[in-house]
Amino acid sequence: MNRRFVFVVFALAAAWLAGVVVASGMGYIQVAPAEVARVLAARLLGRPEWLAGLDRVVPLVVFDVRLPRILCAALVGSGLALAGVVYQGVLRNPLADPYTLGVSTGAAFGAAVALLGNIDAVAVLSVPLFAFAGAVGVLAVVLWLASVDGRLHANTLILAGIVVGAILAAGISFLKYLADEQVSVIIFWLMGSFASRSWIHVGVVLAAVLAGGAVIFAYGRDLDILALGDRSAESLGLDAAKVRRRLLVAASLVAAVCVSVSGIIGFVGLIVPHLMRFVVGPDSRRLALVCLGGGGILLLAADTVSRAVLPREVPVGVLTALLGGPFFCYLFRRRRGFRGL
Amino acid sequence: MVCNGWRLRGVTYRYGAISALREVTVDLAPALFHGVIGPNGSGKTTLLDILLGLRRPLAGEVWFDGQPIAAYGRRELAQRMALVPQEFSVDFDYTVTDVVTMGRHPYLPRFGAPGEEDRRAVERAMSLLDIAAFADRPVTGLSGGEKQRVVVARALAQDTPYLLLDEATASLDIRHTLQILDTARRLVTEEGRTVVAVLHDCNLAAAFCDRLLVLDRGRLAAYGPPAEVLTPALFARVFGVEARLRREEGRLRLDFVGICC
Repeated sequence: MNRRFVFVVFALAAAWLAGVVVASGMGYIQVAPAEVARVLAARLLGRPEWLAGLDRVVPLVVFDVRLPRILCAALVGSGLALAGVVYQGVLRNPLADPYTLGVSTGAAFGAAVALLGNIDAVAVLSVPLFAFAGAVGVLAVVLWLASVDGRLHANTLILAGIVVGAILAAGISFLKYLADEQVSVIIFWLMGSFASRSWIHVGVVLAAVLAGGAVIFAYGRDLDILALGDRSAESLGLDAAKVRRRLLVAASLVAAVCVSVSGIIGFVGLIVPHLMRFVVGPDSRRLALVCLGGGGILLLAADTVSRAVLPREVPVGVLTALLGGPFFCYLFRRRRGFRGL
Repeated sequence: MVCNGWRLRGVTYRYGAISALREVTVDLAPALFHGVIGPNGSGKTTLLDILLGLRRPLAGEVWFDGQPIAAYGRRELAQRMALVPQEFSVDFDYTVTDVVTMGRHPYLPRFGAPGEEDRRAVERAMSLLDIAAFADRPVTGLSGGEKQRVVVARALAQDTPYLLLDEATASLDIRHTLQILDTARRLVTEEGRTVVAVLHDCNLAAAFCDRLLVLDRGRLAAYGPPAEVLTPALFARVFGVEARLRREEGRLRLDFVGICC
């Protein structure tokens, strides 16, 4: 079991790295993987002389245009999968995903406000900041709604998330109605995309994923214990409400940053934890670690298909839902219901 | 570690307007098998939660091992008391070993992994409950009886001087029920640990327990050795049933004749 886990971790890390290099070469201008590797090495290690002999446009395309987008996609995939692990564990519900508490609808509402108002006070980060504010606002309301006597119950949380999400969905419809000509911008944002993401976005998502990962690692065993139910967990010395709140806030903040940067990308946060649970079992720390890799690879692949394989760019959120949905149904049938998932 | 049991003084608890425990005053001495009996809704589970420190009484005092129970941290309490709940469901396919190892949680540092001592406690608990054979199987695939043995093993791996069973055998057949109560009995007799068990079957309670605590609508109706506590008058008053008692080879036997008005 231990050996297998180490093998899986290394295999995922290698696949992730290979994925980044191969994807960086794909697109309108094809670049061989060896050349991509050369560009990466030269830029990362500060050796411009290694670029000698390459077309001058190649480093520009690879490092300044494609790589930020690719890393953004990979990191958002990691973040969503990580948040999915926490949500499924904390809510004790195999159908929970990073958007269950309405974080995505909150982000969408915030983004719609920014897009409708043409707000660009903070340049490329304006829409993400509004989206983030919307997501955090919704999270605060949902946590407040679901707290009964200082306790947080899984079902109450899910219900509160659905109710608040439904209200905001109506709000988004209203904004779309008001938006008139800009409605297409809002719709495009809602479908999720990594087009023209920059290194700033990469930095923001990376920071969120690292911080969220640290919290989840620290509380990983507590998350396992929560699977026994609150009373058993508390008799093992756990403050179930506190642990649940901290984990949910951490995962929601990661999801909020992801959705702010990318728009709404469904199914990654739902499927990856399930897939990885088949491979490494339910232990939360191990699961979280391999989900970082699995989620990153999956979304990177989806974004690359949408960007470089299809004749015309399809919003990646649409692609993940179109492919991920049926795949989830297949898993569901094969495992005969959710018990085994 | 000082072990001198619980001292409850005037313990009262309510859920909103519904009274669960009313002024319960009792001392539970260590190294005994205490049984808690009473009709449904008489406050047995609430009493267990109070003993575990999971609920604070709204009035009255709870002393545990010589200190007010509120003076202990959650981890400290978890190192002294383990709970076997009535129902057990676990999400996701944790293996039997995973679940039993969770019993070591109160001893593990936040970033540490289970060590040699933890592994020994886990192995010992699994062999006591005779579940080592399916150590690597997922808990979700086990039968009810096997699952409950896993939960008991998890509580034993916690290696605490006090063990609390909350109708732990309610869903089990007679063989598994006896196996679990036997194990608990041995922990008391051979190792001097203390067991508090909520039981429904009064014959089993009489057979296994050193002391019986009877709850009636939140009040303490009786407390003492089974032979003194279990009387026809008590069954009529508390349970509303007509009971006959006889002694058979030194053991108390109860026959329930019918419902009395």
